[in-house]
Order: sequence, then C-alpha cells, then structure tokens
Amino acid sequence: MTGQPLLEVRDLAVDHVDGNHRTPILRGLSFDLQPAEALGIVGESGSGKSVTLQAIRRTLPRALRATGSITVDGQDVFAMGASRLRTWHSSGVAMIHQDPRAAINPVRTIGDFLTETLRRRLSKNEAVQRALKQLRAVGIANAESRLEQFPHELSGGLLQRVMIASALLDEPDLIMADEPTTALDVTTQQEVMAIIDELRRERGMAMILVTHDLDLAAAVTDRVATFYAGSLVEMGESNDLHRNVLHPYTRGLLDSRPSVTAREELRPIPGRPARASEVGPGCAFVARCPLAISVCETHAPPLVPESGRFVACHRVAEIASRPQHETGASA
Amino acid sequence: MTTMTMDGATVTGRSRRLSVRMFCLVFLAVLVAVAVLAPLLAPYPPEQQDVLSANLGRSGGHLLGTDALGRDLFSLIVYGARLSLIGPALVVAGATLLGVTLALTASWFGGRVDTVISRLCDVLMAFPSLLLAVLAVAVLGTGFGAPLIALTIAYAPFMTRAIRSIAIRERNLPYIEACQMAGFSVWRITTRHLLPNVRSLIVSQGSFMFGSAMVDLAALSFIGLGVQPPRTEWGLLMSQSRSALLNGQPLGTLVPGLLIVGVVIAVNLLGASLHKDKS
Amino acid sequence: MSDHAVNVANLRKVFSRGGRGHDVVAVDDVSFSVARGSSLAIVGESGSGKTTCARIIAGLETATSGQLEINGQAQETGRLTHRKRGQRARDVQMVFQDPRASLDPMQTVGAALVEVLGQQTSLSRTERRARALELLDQVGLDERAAESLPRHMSGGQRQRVAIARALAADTDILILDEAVSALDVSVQAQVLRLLQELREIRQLTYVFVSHDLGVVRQISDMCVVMNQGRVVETGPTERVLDSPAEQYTRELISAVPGPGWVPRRRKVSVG
Repeated sequence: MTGQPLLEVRDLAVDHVDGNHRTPILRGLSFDLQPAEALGIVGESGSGKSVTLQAIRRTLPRALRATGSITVDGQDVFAMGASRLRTWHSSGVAMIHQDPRAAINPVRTIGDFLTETLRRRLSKNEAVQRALKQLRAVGIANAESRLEQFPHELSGGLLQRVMIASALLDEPDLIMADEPTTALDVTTQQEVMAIIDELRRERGMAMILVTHDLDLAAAVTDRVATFYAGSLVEMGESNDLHRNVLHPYTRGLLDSRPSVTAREELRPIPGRPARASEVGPGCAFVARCPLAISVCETHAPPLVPESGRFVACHRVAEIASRPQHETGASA
Repeated sequence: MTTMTMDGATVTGRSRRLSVRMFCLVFLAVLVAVAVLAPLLAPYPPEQQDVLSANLGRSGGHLLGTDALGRDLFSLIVYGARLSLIGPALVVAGATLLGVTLALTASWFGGRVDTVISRLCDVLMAFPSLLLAVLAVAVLGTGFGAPLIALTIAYAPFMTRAIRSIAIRERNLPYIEACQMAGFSVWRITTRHLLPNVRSLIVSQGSFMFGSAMVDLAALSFIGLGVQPPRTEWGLLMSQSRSALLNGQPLGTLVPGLLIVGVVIAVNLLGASLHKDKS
Repeated sequence: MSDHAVNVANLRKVFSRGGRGHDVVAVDDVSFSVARGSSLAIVGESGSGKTTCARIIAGLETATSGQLEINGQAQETGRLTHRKRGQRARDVQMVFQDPRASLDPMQTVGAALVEVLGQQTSLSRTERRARALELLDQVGLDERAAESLPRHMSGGQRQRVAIARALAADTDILILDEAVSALDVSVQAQVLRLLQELREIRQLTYVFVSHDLGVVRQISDMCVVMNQGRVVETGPTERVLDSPAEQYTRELISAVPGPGWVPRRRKVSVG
C-alpha cells in the first residue's frame, strides 16, 4: 500500500471504568485504513465491534475510557479540541446508525434535517439543492415532496436512505456504518447496501462497516476483520475469505450459517460468544475452539501474517497447510 | 460480578444512595418506635391538664414546656406521632389498593374499559384533594375517618395514572402472551406476573404519596376539620399552639412542624433512591 | 384433511383503523396445511402477514374471516373464552422471537416451568419439579438454570428455556415466530439443531415463521411464501428455493448474501 493511511489505529483499548474497577471491552486493536478503502468488522455479541467505531469517533459513553492512539489524516483524534472534533464529525467522518429513527429528530422535517448543518455555510437555496441531489442519488424519486415530510411518514428502508444521503452531504473521507441494514428486510438491505457501495466507490470514500453478517461484509468491502471477545482474530482480503479462511472462529462462523442453497448438517460452535472481561490469559477463543491445545490456555496468540492474511492463532501454520474442508474438524 | 451499566448508575453512586437510604430508614424507624412505645416514653398522659403550669417554657418537669392548658408538650408530640403516622399510611394503603386495581384493569382490558377508567381519573384529579376532604367532612362529620376516606379516593387516580402506562407496556410484552398461551387465568397473570413487574414503581409512588397525605391530613387537622381534641396529632398541635407562638413559646408549633417536614423529606428520599436503583 | 395437524382456509385479517386511516389487510385469503410431524415455514418480509397468521393459529389474534382446523377439529377464530384458550394451549404452543421479553423477568426459570406444568398437567408438586428439570435437560440446560433469573442468562439459553416452556404443555404442535432471529449466528445454529433433534425425538409439528431463507432451508420440509398478506408460492422447501416459480420468491432468494454475492440495485427508483 502506498501513501499515507487515512486512519491509523494503534493499541486501541476500551475499558468500562467504575471507581477503581476496570472491565475490558476492547483489547489492544491496531490496524490501518487507506483512503477509499472499505473495511468490514464482523463479530457477535461482546466482540467489541460497535465500541470500536465509537472509540474512533470519540463518542464513547461516559463510563467507557479509551487508550491507545488514533490518527486521522495525520491528526491525533484524542488530542483534538472540541471544535476541531465537531468539524471532523460534520465533514470528515459520517456515521450511519442501525436505527435511523433514533438518530433523526421526529418533530422536524426531512428537509430541515438534511439542510441544518449545511445552512451554516451555504444559502438556503444552495443547501436545499444539495439535499435534493443526494436524495436522488440514493434512489428517492419525488425528492422535493420528501423534504416536507416527517420521519414517521417514511418506512424504515426509506429513512435509512435519507440517513445515507445525509451522511454523504458533506462529502466525508470516511463513512462508518454500524449494522446499517440489520433492521431492514433482506430485499431492502440489498438495495441499501448497493447504494452505499456504489456511491462510496464513485466518490472515493473510505468505509468501516460493522456487521454480524460475514457474507454481507465480504460482498461490499476490500478487507474483512473478524473480532471475538474484544480482540481482532483475523484480517484479510474479502475476496479471499471463503476460499482461505484460517482462524477457527471465522471458520466456525462460516460453518454455522444455515445455507440457502443446500440442506447440510448444522455445525454450531459450542458455548456462547464471550466478552472481553471473561477472557483468561490465553487465547480469547480457547473455550470454544475445536483445535485448542495447551499453549492456547496460557498464551494469547499474536497477530501474524500467514498466506496473505493476518491471523491470531497458535496453530495457524498448521491450518494453512491443510486442505480447506478439514479445518472445521477437531484435531 | 458487578453489572456493567452505561447509564450513570455506578457503584459509587449506589453506595451513596445506600447510606442516604439507611439514614432515612433509621429516622423513620425511630419515629415509629416512639409512636408505638408512646405510653412508655411519655412522662405525662397527654390529656392531663394543669392550668397552673400553663405556657411554661422548657423546665425540669417538662422537656419541651407546656401548652395553654398545661399539658406536657413532649407527651403530646409523642402520642401525636401515632395518628400523624398512621393516617398517611392508611391513605397510601387504600389509594394503592384502589389505584392499582384500576390501573391493572384498564391495562388488561384496554379499549372502552381503559377509556372509562382514565376519564374517571381525570375527573377526580381535577378536584384539589383538600377540597374533597372538606366536602367529606361536611357530609360525614369531623374526625379521623372522613378525611381518610376522602384522601384515599382523591389520591387513587394518581397511582392509577402512574401505574397504567407501565402496566400497558408490560402487558403487551411477549411474556404475558406466553402466560396466555399457557392457559393461565387473567387473575393469575395479573397478580403473579404483571403486578411484580410494576411493584417497584408502586413502592416509589407510594412513598411520594405518603408525604402529600401527611401534609394534607395535618392541614385538615390544623384547620380543625380532622383529628379532634382530646386526641392529638401534629397538625392539630400546631394549631393549638398558635397563641403560644405569639407569646414567645414557639416549641409547640416548631417541633411538630419540623417533624412533619422531616418525615416527608425522609420518605421522599427513600422513594427516590428506590426508584433510581430500579431504573 | 383430518391427518393434518393444522389446516388454514381462506384466512383473512383486517386491522381497522376506525377514522384514523385506511384499514390494513394483514392477511388476505391465505390457505395452507401442515401435515402431522412435518415442518412448515411461513416466509416473508415485514408486512407480509406471516406473524399475524401464526398468531391467529395460536389464538393470540382473531381472524376477520376464514377457517382454522387443528388436529382435524374446527377452531374458534374469534375472541377465545378462557376455556377455549386452555384447550388451545393443549393443542398449540408458541416460541416467541425476543428472548429478553418472552420470559417474566421476576420469575426464575424453574418456577416458570413449574407454573406451566401446574396449569397444564396433573402432576404432584414433586413430580412437577422433577419434570421441570427433565425439560431443562432436554433443551441442554443443567440444574443450575432452574434457579436462575432470565437476566442472568444469555440469549441462547433464554430461547432454550422458551422452548422448554413450550414443551411443558405436552403439545405436538409448536409455532416458532422468528425464534432464532435475535440470536448470534453461532448460537442460532445450536438452537436450530436442538429444534431439529426435538422434532425427531418427540414427533413434533412445526410452524416456523421466518424471514431468513437459510434458516428456512434447514428447518422446514414445506414452505409458504407470503407477500403483503397474500400467499405467493407454496411447496416443498427444496423445490421453492431451488426452482422458485414466482418472481417475488426469486427476488427474495437473490437478495440473500452468500459466497460470491454482490448487492444489486433495482432499476426502478423508489418513489
């Protein structure tokens, strides 16, 4: 990769702090994101995926504290003053939430919502024109009449498109999307993800997509990272994912999805997803891993490169040398 | 393992609340003990008059002095605690029973039943509680009973209002439907499943209600429509000691008044701390 | 027709809004049958009417018109009396979608099961207790779960409890309304497998409501595809998913992410 990364995250950790009591939620995350690159973060409950986005944006709830360093375009995010942070939030990075209704003021019109921040710099007419342009870009016809409507008059899918339009208004360098389609029907999800993907590529924006759906992430991103119990366990190219998955957890995730195309024996991962606070000194996944050996209990595996991917597993070299279909079986 | 909450209900906040709660409980417990043990604690029978010792300040025989009729103030206050504390307790009990029943009925049946009950509550809440109490006294005569009945009816709608919306929310949750699927009777579902889930709100509402009831009852007795002599009650005492106040003997008005305020604050703090814990 | 566990004919449900807007036709002339011991999936997106159908069968919703038969007997589709509801409970039980909201937060798991057993069986107190533990064991939970409150359990564990509760009534027909949708992917597979095993062991009949075609494939023999209150397509699950006859079904299938899938925009923009 040439050029300076858009986003550099080093040793990002998030803890829940209550008096003297610290509970880990995210443990030591490091990665880079290039301009115009899309990264998918996939994980289940307790993986720390949503907290990662909040930490990068510095919008963590009061009880959570982040350590480590986050650099955007060469600037240290944690060192930013309040007004610089606000500017970054409004024009440098855009956020698409899972529930659009929670992020939109229900008593104001769509038009007000879209033009609010723009009106500080542009005239009302210019702001409205920009808003209309974005609404059409996300596939909303009759955009003029939509401006007069209130959020409750729009369906979930339509409202999410409005959110995307608002995210794109200021032409940010980075989009963060936290489960943007989880609450939508699958056909609407396809439409919305297609719009995000198309517009993002068109305008050269980077994206971090957080989702529980591994296939969805692989379809619209350049790289996918799998999180488990607050740690990054695997990262690699998206189009490599299905052929070359290496970490037992990622493998387990792929195997436990019920397939639409053929009825197969279900292969669940035993136990339940752990939280960072429940992890011992060894690997986060040791309690559920079919390939666990004694060193996995005592030593946390480092993230190492293997076959073009980054994997945190003591047995990764062994796994890489085996043919694909055997990796799900126990040793 | 400590529960992780991200809404400010931290461990340190909790321990502060516990000590406030402890303090209030102790204060109230002491007063209740005083009321119960009145015959043992009061140095004089409260109705014993001794005109020769009237309007004395604090002196050897009288911890807080005497009133215009020579009755020992300390004994009056100690015995007064009984009616002053029991009255609001009865009002809260009655209003809770009536109010919760109405709320659960409204939330369960919904529709027209809910509308009727809600409108009934609206009408009742439009009357100031004291006015209802005065009307009740006009009809039923003075004393302890009429104000109690009136205030119970006046306060019940407030409980209904508070409980109804939570009850409606809970009633529409799947676990209530699961109870229906299991074939449970409406009575069982309401008392064993709905009620426990609104219990904490009832308790906190009840505690706020106690304070209001206490003040209302004391006010009624103050204006002479509630507790009648020779029985004693703090509000009545304050009224009876008004002339003594003008003569430079404030204790008869001050001490019962402060006690009323103290109890109301203690009960409100208790209710607020319980409410915060459950949220 | 009498060997069908569930038979639904011309079911119609209209939610009237009074003066506040148009009436909503949630279910429009829906008919299907579920053979005893089989598993039928009702598939659709939000607003398809699939949940309303399931709730009508469960007796939690009334139908505006149409017939319902359970185990060959005609059933009341209007408001149920207490007695009728008790009878329906013996025929049909339901597992709800949200594991957090479908268990009483103030009741321990064991107490919840014992209560249902008390209502639906004539076992003595000790027998009820033993049976509750047996049920927990059948769904893969140990004795400690009996003393737990729902809030101390994970989503997967709570759903297992919900399944145990449904089995406590000793019915043969289970309605599962998006019963695995709220679970993590790795846990979802566990619960699905449990459901498959239970169906085999106890010869149960499933009516499985879901929007997730992968789940539908794994759990059902037959499926009914619904869209906006109407039945679009019916048939064996394999056939419907491999060679869908209707355009809508094809659209649904092509929208599911999988290896090699890429999201496509519809040509027509949304008005």
